[in-house]
Amino acid sequence: MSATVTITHRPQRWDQPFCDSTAPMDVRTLLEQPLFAGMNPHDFPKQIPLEGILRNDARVVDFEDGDIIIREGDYGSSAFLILSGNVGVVLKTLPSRMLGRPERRQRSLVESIREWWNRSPVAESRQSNNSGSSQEVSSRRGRDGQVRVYLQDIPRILAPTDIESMKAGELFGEMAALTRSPRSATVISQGRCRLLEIRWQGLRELMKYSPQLRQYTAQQYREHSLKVHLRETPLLHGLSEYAVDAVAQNVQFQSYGDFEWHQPFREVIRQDVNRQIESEPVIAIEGDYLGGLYMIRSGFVRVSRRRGDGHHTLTYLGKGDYFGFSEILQYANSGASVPWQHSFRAIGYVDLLQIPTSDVVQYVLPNWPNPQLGTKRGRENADRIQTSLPDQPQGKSPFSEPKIDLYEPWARSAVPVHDAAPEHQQRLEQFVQLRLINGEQAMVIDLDRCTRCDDCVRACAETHQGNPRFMRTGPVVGHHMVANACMHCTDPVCLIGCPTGAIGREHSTGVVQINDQTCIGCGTCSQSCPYENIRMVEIFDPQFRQQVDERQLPILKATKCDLCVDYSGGPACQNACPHDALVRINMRETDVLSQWLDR
Amino acid sequence: MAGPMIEQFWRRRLRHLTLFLLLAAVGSLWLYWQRQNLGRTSFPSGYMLFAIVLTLAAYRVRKRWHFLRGLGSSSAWLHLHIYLGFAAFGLFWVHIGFQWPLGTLEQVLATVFMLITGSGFYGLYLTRTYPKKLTAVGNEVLYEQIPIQRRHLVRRAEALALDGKYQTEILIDFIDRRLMPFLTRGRSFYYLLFPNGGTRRALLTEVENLNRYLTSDHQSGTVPLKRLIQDKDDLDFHYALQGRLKGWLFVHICLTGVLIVLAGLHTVLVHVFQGGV
Repeated sequence: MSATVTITHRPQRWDQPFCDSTAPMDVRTLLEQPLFAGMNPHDFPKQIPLEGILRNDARVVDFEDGDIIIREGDYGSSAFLILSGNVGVVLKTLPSRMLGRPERRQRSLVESIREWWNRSPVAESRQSNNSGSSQEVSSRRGRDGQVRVYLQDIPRILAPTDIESMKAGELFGEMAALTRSPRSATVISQGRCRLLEIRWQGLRELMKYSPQLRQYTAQQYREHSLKVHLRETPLLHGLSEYAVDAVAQNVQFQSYGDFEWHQPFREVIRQDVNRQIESEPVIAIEGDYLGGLYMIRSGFVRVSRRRGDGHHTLTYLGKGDYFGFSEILQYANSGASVPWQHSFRAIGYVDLLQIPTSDVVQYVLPNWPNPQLGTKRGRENADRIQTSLPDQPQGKSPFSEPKIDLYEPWARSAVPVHDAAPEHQQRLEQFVQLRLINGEQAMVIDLDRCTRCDDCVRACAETHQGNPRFMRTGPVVGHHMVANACMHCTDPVCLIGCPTGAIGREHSTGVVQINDQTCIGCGTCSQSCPYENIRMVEIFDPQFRQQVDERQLPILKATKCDLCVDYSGGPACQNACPHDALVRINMRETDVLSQWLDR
Repeated sequence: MAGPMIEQFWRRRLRHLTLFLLLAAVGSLWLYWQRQNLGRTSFPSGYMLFAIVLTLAAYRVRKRWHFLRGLGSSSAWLHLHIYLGFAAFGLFWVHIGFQWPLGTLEQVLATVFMLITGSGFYGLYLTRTYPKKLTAVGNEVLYEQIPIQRRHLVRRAEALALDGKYQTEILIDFIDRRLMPFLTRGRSFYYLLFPNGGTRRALLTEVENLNRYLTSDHQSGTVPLKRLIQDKDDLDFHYALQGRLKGWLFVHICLTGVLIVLAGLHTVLVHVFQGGV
């Protein structure tokens, strides 16, 4: 028997560098930048040297005066170091039109009728291919050939007090890149400037091996955002300035899981539930030593309890939720050590703040119960929950089988292990396993009521250029289907990597939308969507002639559900369902979700 | 982050039913009062009936023109449609004085009305029971894709026949003689009327019986055959049930058009011959 093999180059991490060599970089010069000069190259492993990171995970970008570098609300995947020139952080929110986003206005009935009357018989027809340009957007090509949106007549738009300048040597955009959160402000170029754009993969390595950068980033976050975040947390309302300062100083930043969880997603969901749970990074394990109070900044956490040889999922937590407080309270009350009552695991990627137990005891508990939780709302909640609970057996610790937790809101929807109906439990496990919990506007169809009439699909097609923006297919959980329609995810990974910023989340509505005018049809969003809810379509002109480029290749556009934000009356699909079988629902709102599923 | 409360179906049904009964009682009392005062009930009841029929037909317009969504959701319209349908049925009998009409046009009109009402009740039954049956099958499939899925099954069967693992006369013969005709042909009209698992069970039993002629190696080859039979039967079941869910609506809508024309004609005629009544 003869066997033949082909010897080939094993794919390596830096086979495709970030810099496409259009703007060659002098890495030695970069290493002289104060940020990198302070780093010790010996702290980096041999296979990931500092020089390699700079060469492969960073690129030099030039901007002209007024160019928008990052836009408030966009999901970025890179940070910027100013090499020369100045940039301005815009302290006020600019109108969407100025940022290259279309202004949204709902159509009136007359406009809707007119549009229907003038509709083209050709699906996906556009007047002409106008990708990359819009009359509403001021854009120009940079020296590297990339299209850049810029602000015209800045002094008229922004007062000097509306801009905070940053100078060479400063870093910005790192928090959004590391936590995959929206950019908190728009940053523009003040005069010509040269920046080093570092993609998140490189930034993560720099953070990992450079204590200086870690310290610098943490300090930046502590100074600018952390205190606001802490004050906005209901649990910490009422804390004095001194206490907030003290807590902020000791907060630990932690992250678990794979930042690019959407890449291996399709393999992961095929795994057996127990294997999947076991493969999830553990944040805290049931019975272990209590580590402190954890607050979720982004991502999802699975809460489970051990049951036999497996794990029983109780609920899932997301941004704004916290855990560990009830254990700390118990510890403070009894003085005895209290272990974790549940296990907490990262689903995909999760970013956490950890407040040490001693700080919670020292600063938070003396201020608790507080006006927000302790007297009115909190007490009412506590009373309501308490009365709905079965009586605890005398002498038995309430934690031996935690029924409910009065101080952690998530515990309200966590069904105790032995009370969970099997079909409900299976449903919960599947929602978590398939990561459907990411959906803020998931399309759920009750198949026991759906007559398969496709009125929803027709309504969607009529509203969107004759082509529906979803398919009535998708994973079926019990008798509910989560259809292949954009879920407007909490963690919208589709937004990462869009070269023109055509896909973005609208602040006011939370709807993830594609700007058809600036979409260049590269398909990055479609490939990134783990749920296959974005489709690339070929476009036509009204005479049914396909639009192609100079090389005769079809012009593509990314299409997806936009929740019919331009129309009054809500999503056409939900409105068109005669049998109340279809709903657009936030999978995080477990109470509402359960009510709908169990109608 | 508490969201809106989801109303349970039974609450909504109770509320709507109460409202319907209340309005029906008011309408009945008014007609009774008319009759007691020697008024003519046939004209007011006829106009009311015609108005209800037009409102019932307007649901189709609402469904077709999605820009009218401001006039209420399709679900709200369907509720109204159902309750008005019941009201129309009652009012129809009041209108004809609980006696089958004698004129030819009136008889045709009454027959069409009864057919629409019947198809409506039948549709109500179908839409409330068939979805559960379809869900129970498990393999969710789009109606338009059923022919494609059938072709896919045929290709799977052909691939099995060519697979060396199943190269035995018994299995090849079964695939050729029994399985392929089942996969390629549509089902009988009787099956479309009364979908059942008879053929599926018969074929599965046949496959089971083949085992005694097969070696233990070849016996494993019957598993994908069974899967194919089940998948095809599930597809046929979907085809029959989804087809009926679409078919009844087609009949219902076509009859509505006929009813409106006949009812309009009837209205003109009764006014023309009003003096002779």
